[in-house]
Amino acid sequence: MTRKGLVLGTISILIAVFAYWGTASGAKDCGGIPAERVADMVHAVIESHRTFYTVHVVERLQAKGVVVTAENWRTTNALPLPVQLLQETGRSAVNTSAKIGYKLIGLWPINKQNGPKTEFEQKGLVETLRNPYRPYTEVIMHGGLRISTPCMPTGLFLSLASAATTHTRTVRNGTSSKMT
Amino acid sequence: MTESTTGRMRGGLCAIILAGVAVGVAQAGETAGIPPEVVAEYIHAVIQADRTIYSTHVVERLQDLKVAVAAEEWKARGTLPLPAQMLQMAGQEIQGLGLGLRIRLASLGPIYKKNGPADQFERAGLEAVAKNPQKPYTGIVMQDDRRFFKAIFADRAVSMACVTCHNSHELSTKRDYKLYDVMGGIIISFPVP
Repeated sequence: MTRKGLVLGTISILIAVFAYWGTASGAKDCGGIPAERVADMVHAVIESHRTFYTVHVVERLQAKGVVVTAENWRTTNALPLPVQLLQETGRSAVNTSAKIGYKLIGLWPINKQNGPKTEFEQKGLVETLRNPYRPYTEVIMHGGLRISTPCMPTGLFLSLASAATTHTRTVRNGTSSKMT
Repeated sequence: MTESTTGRMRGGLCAIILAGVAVGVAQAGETAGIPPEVVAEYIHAVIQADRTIYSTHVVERLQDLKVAVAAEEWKARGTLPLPAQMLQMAGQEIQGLGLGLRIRLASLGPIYKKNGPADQFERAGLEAVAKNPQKPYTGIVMQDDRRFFKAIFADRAVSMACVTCHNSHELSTKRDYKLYDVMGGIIISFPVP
């Protein structure tokens, strides 16, 4: 009788569990995307826009003598430097509902605030200097959201944060990222 | 308490423990990756940031300062590319990277036919975001035997450069756009397991 109860109870509860599973996750039709692949895709979007701006706007218009770039672009008639455009977009993206932020950092930044701020960032920049074709990644547990600030062009730090608590941080090609 | 009742209770208890383990496994599986809806939001946020900052800090500002203008024939005329052209060219570069990621602009009333909906999914998505611009239209589509997650976000006229181009273009089918009107959609797709 005990065995019969166990079997019946197990079957009924598992039906309920799989029903829950079906509606909670299976209904999404597919599994999650590995954090490293997401970092690759986000990095590709950032880099493609930066390349476009650098090649087709900055270099082209400077060569034609139409306009120049300058760090103090806001107070002159100049174009922002590519790095400054990335800084601005990083600030803008973090204010969206996606809360994705990114910044550039370097081991030898012009401005101190653009240096590595954590052990992860320091290690990531050193590692990508040794092997620029391989992203440096790390998974950490974090209780809150990480909001990044922009830095110098030797490293790009992404912060893909939402309400979850597991963060993967990546440094690639002198660029680094972090995601939830 | 009878033996059968005790047996049922023990059975039920064991089943609840098993169920707890199963739920735990299910939830652990969910944390193994980032949901595609969230990934699409990330990518869309970066695209929007790039386009908005380029539109406001470069195109509109330099046009206001009378330093440079943006024009569709930017390569031949030595002008700034239009914000939409930046996204299109960035999308072409991304497609060549082999990540499976694709981004493009599309509209129900495009200036060029190639920028119209490519299939029924895109047509339905563009209609949906035109009605409800706050909510992306998403789904799984099959392409070359691979599963892709596809998301269509409302594409608004982020600067007067977009409005002016569409309202004055000789091939345009709609010429009464205003700033921030929905002009079409940003289509993002990437492979999923």
